[in-house]
Amino acid sequence: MIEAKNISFGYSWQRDKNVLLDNINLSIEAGSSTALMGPNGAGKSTLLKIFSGQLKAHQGEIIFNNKNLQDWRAIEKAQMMAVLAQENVLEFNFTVTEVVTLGRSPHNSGRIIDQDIVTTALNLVDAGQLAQRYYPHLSGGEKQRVNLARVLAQVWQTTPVGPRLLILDEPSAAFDLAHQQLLNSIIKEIVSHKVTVLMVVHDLNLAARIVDNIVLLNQGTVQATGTPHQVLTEATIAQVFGIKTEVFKHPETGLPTILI
Amino acid sequence: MRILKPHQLMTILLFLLPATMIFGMISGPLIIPAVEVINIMLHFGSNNSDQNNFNQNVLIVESIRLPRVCLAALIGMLLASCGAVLQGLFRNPLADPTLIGVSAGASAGASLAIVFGSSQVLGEFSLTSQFLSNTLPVTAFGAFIGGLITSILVYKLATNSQGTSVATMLLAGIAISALAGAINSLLNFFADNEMLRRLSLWRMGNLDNATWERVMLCFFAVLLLILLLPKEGRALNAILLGESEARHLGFDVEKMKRRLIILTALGVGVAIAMAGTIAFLGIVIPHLIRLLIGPDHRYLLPASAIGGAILLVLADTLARILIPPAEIPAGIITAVLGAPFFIWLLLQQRQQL
Repeated sequence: MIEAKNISFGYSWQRDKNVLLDNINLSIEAGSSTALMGPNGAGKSTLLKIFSGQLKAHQGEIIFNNKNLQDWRAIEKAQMMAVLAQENVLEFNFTVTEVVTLGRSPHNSGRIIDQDIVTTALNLVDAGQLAQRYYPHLSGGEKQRVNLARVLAQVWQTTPVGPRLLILDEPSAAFDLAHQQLLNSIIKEIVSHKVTVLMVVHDLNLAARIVDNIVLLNQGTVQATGTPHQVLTEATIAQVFGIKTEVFKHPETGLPTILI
Repeated sequence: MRILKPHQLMTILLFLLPATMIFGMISGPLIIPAVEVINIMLHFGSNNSDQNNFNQNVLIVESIRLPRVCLAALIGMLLASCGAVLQGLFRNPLADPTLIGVSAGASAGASLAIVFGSSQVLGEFSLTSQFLSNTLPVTAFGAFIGGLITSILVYKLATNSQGTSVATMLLAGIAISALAGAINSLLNFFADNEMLRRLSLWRMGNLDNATWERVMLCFFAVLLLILLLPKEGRALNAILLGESEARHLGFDVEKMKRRLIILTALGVGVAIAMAGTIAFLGIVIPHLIRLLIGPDHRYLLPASAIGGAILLVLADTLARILIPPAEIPAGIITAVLGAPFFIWLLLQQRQQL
């Protein structure tokens, strides 16, 4: 689906002295959900921006659907890949429906189909009741849900043209407890529609519940990859985050549960 | 909050525009009845063909008031639609042509043209400059070039391989404005009495001595905007989400910014060249339209154009009838009406933050 080959990146003039990402090799399988995790400054958001094409790596390349990311035409890429950034800047008085409809702009699917998809996406993120509200008047968590609906609408394809990728940078940062739980069903639903999900999340327990794979980054290198069971061990967490934890098996789900 | 549907507003505006233009042709030191104005308009060009039956009102309408309301309407269109585009591009409802330095650059260009293009300076070339100032005024050309150079300069300063930084662009605009202001002051210092008078009159923003040449020049600029802007509506909507977001939605943001900046520099440059600095039109009109129908640029751009035309025709008419037979420059009217509105907008923004 999407693959990082020997990716290196640094912000400084002398690139080798201030390395943010050092020779990253990663392959994300189509139809899977993956969480990028790690301490602050590990390079998660930078790697996410390189995957989305927002930043250009100093070394290495990104292969998206068997084609170098740079060789994709902007509009065709936008039909296959949607990106949710951490911050949003919209200050103009669009309604929620209009914001989500913007997600359909790469497609030429027609107004009626778009309206259906927008309604579906809004209901999926529990924002159907916000449809006619003005976006700037919403709370932080509501805005985040609306933007999530926008990128869902963008990859919600009507005619299957190929595998699609959804990149999310901390989608649940401003969510309350109930909506964090909702993120779980949203990710499951979108993966069941053959959309691959790649996201940054901070909450280890949340990640254990919602994704198939975890990639643990530390100081610009990949420390561990695998299922939550494989990655979220007391030893690995201690090594990467430098804190002592206890990892239990959740009595009902069997998923790893981290206690600090 | 949204009071009207876009097509309702467009219908209203498209009725209002000819109405205000006819009102503008009726009004003035000599009031010409509406019926006569419409009658003259219907027989445009053939009214005074009969030499024995010369009609003064025909001359006033055909040669003075009609080109003047046309010029006002076209300049209103240019300023309001360029304002709307810049506010979208900067993602800030307070952005204005004056912010990126186009107005100041155009003003400096015009001042240079007035001072150095005048017969006293040019000496033996006086005949050429006389000819130029009669057909396509040197002032106008200088303003246009000045505006264009400024916006290209500001754009180059603010753009690097990573994209255009709005903050750098605004600051560059301020710096260029200061430089242009210094050029203006220097020229004021050296200019003789006659030049000074022309400089200050032009800067006030005025629509008198409207000629068909000026109308045609503005018309071509408006035509260019009408042909090219509608394509950018969706991209402008997307860019309100942020530049990266617009890129992720498949828009070529860099190319689009380049196109829009050149287009607005041209529009604003031509408008300022023809009528001097007419302030606040580019902020007031798009803001009112957004209040009525929302910020969707597909409707905002055409509605702003028509709204700007209506407002400037009204302001110019007001300028002509307030203290007849004297004419207040229309730029003063728009500034007097626009400045309090702008301050009100600022207060609104402050409350939101």
